[in-house]
Amino acid sequence: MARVEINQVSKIFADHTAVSDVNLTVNDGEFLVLLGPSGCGKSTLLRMIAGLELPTYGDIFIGERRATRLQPKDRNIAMVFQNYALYPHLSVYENIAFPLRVRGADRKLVDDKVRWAAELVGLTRMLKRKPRQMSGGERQRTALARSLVRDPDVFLLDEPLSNLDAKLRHSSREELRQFQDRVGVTSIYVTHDQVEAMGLGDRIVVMQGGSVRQIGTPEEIYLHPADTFVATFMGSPPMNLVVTGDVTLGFRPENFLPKASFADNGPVTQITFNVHRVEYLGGDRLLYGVVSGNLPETQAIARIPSSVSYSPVLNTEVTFAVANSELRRFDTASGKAIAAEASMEKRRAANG
Amino acid sequence: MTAIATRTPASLPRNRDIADMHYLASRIMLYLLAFTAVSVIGFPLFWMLICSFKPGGELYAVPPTFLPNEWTLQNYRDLFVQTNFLTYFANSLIVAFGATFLSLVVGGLGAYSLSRFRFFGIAAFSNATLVCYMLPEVLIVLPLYIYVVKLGMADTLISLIIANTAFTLPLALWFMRSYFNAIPISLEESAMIDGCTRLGAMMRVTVPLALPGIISVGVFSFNHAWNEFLFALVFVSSETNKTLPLGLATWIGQDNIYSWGMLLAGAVLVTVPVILFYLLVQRKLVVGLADGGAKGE
Repeated sequence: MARVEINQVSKIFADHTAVSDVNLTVNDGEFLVLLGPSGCGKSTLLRMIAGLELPTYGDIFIGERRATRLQPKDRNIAMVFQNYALYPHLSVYENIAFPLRVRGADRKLVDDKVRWAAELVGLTRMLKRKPRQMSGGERQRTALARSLVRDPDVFLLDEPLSNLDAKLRHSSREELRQFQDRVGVTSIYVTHDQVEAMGLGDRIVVMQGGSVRQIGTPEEIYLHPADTFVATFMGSPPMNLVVTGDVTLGFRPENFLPKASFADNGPVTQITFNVHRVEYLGGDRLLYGVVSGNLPETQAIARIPSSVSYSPVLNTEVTFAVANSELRRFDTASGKAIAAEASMEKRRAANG
Repeated sequence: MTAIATRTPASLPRNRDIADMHYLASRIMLYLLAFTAVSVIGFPLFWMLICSFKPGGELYAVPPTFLPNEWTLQNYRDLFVQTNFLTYFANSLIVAFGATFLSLVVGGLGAYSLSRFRFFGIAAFSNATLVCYMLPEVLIVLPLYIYVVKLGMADTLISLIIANTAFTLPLALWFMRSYFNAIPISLEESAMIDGCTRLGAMMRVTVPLALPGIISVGVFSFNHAWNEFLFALVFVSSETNKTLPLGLATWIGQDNIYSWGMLLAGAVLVTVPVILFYLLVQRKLVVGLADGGAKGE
């Protein structure tokens, strides 16, 4: 168990900068998710923590130790790879036992530990199999068991669920989180899937183009995105952005509702909306259209729960609204959220 | 519906009969072909074997006998009593195993570097080794001889081990490199995180997975060094350092061969270790190939 500190770390490859000036602290026992589109540097950052890449600048601390130049084997970390990296020539038992065998542990201890880890992930009956005789989910659990047997300080996971099919991914996510709660190891998890990130992370680090865009709890990131990138990257469909001169307005599709559905609980901003197309998704309906009226014409999406009775009329201007407390403002030039907005909104909401 | 139902059972066995016939015919053809090939390749070996048991006079008999009229071990006895056959044999074993060992260690480490690391000049180096492999033995034997003499290694077995290694190394490098390339790097990274050094990860994960390739290179090096003649002829002069091919060849005189029987007996004994070696590794080779085929990905 340990905290991980990343100090002004950069990684420059021959032709491009993969990670630039990242500062990050992962608390002891925390589940931190690195989230970003592919090529944003999240995997490189994880590989630097693992010791598989050397940072060009900056320092990495694991626990109290400066680990920047430490060999992977001396860091006491465990890593689950995207392709699981199970050793194909060894049985499941030997795969799980591998880290202990390398350390020359005695046979009794190896046996106890392997059976304990296999029990934990439910693989007790498959110990004799070879990796190629197992399904994707079983391989993933084997990789998990192997990373557990030697009580690592930090647990690194590089998109471990991305090779599973959708249903299995859902249940594995659930298992993974329960499992981390039980073991309580500091975990750093890399993914490009925002649903995984929201569901698993204590905190999320959103990365883009090699730098950190925002660090926060899933709620903070979703409700108060630090910039327009985070605002559009998180959420599906993404946040609607309407450029009005120097200020860009942002509002989530689920907060963008017909005026009539707002009771008198707080001030709202009225927006004229012209619906072009309706998509029925079961639980929700997505209304694609154009914002107009006093705002410049911009594409926008509204998401209305099926439980709300509203029958959209196509190609007609209708009055929609967003609660002022849900309205976000960004600086158009830099894309950064305009600070103090949240607190001002709160005050206004409290007074109003 | 009923028409189809009644017709199918009748036509089904007939189809199966035809399929069986086809299968049988193709089997027979295959075995005939294999038998022909084996006869063409194997007959000289067989002839060598049975002639080594014929007494000296019978070898020159006209018309020749097929099976010996009189089976004898005299040729083998002569071989051990009259010649340095055992010395040659031991020398050949030393050279062959030495060269194989060196090829595998140097070639294996080299191939691993070529496959895993990127540093200045590495591509040029790997291409240069390939060019070296294209040079015929005859071309490099004289320059090599000069080195051997300057280094004071003339007339030693070490010189043969080194020369044979030098000759097989390029192939070893390229062959094993392609095997290493096929093994995902993430396996080694995982092993390193699990507590191995890079060398440890290579020995515990990469080498077992590349075993079929390593064995193929081993077989090739052993075979080459065992049969090698030219280096031995040029580098070695004293009787105590001769290898089998050289030793046997010296019995063939300028215009006469004074003991066909002994030569044949010697040839039989030269062939035995190679066959034994093949039998020993053959299973590993096949098992290894099957293992490598499905990499658990």
